[in-house]
Amino acid sequence: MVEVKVDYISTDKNTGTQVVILEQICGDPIHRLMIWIGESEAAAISTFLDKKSTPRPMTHDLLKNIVDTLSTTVNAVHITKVEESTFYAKMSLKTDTQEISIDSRPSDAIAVAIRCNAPIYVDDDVLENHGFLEKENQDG
Amino acid sequence: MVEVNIEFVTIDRNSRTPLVVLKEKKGDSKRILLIWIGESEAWAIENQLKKLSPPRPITHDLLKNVIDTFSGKVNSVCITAIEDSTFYAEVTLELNGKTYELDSRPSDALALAVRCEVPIYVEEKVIEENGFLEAEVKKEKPTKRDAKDVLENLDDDIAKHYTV
Repeated sequence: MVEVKVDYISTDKNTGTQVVILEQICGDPIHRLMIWIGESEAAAISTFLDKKSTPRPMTHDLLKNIVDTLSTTVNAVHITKVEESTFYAKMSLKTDTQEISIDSRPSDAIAVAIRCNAPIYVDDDVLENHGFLEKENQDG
Repeated sequence: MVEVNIEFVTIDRNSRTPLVVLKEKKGDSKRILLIWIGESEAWAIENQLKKLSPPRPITHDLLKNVIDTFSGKVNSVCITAIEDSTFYAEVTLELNGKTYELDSRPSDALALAVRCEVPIYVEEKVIEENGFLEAEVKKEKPTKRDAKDVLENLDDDIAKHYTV
């Protein structure tokens, strides 16, 4: 598992789809990973990172409120695998007595992780097979 | 509080915004409440109403999964207020015998309610001041009208009053 952070949100020029770029926190060279995500999840991530306040709670703010109300904490989120171009993730939630992983899309996991100040990890194989080094980044 | 059903989700032709139509469940002349919502939330509601299962859990599925996993229970949702054209809602969450009211947008509350199969309420004042009386709308064409016709009567002036 490699810890990453959200570098930025961008638009894939070819498909017009939103992408999130994750960047390895430690290591040399630094790997990055690009994941295609939905518009509303991209907005949920960038709104929070840009510290923009929304007049009403967004869906992921509600999810954080639910997590808090259930007396649990988001321990970490993991991007676990890629199958047929679909990225899979898990949210690891912890209470006093148990730790449970819940299946999630990476976009939701990331939107929750940044709100809960939880680390984001990527599986080694995923980063190796789907990551890129900065100089390879053609997206600009 | 009055209980409502989700009648359908559609696109408002004037504002090109998704619109959810709520209809009073009981009573002779049922009132209708229109709430403008975001695209992804409209899709989340529609998806569940049509019992479509997406290949991956969408955000509101995740909300429900988290609640279920930790033995929480959504009891109901309620559209509580409108202030400056913004609708407010609450999700009533039960955990270990205690209930908690979570502040929410109506769209998220509705997307969660359809997944958890719980009642949807609207505060009387909200539906009284912002609802359409179905019978009223029916006056012009008494035989052929249904809730969909309400939308056709919407003009820009009315539409301006509803945004989420």
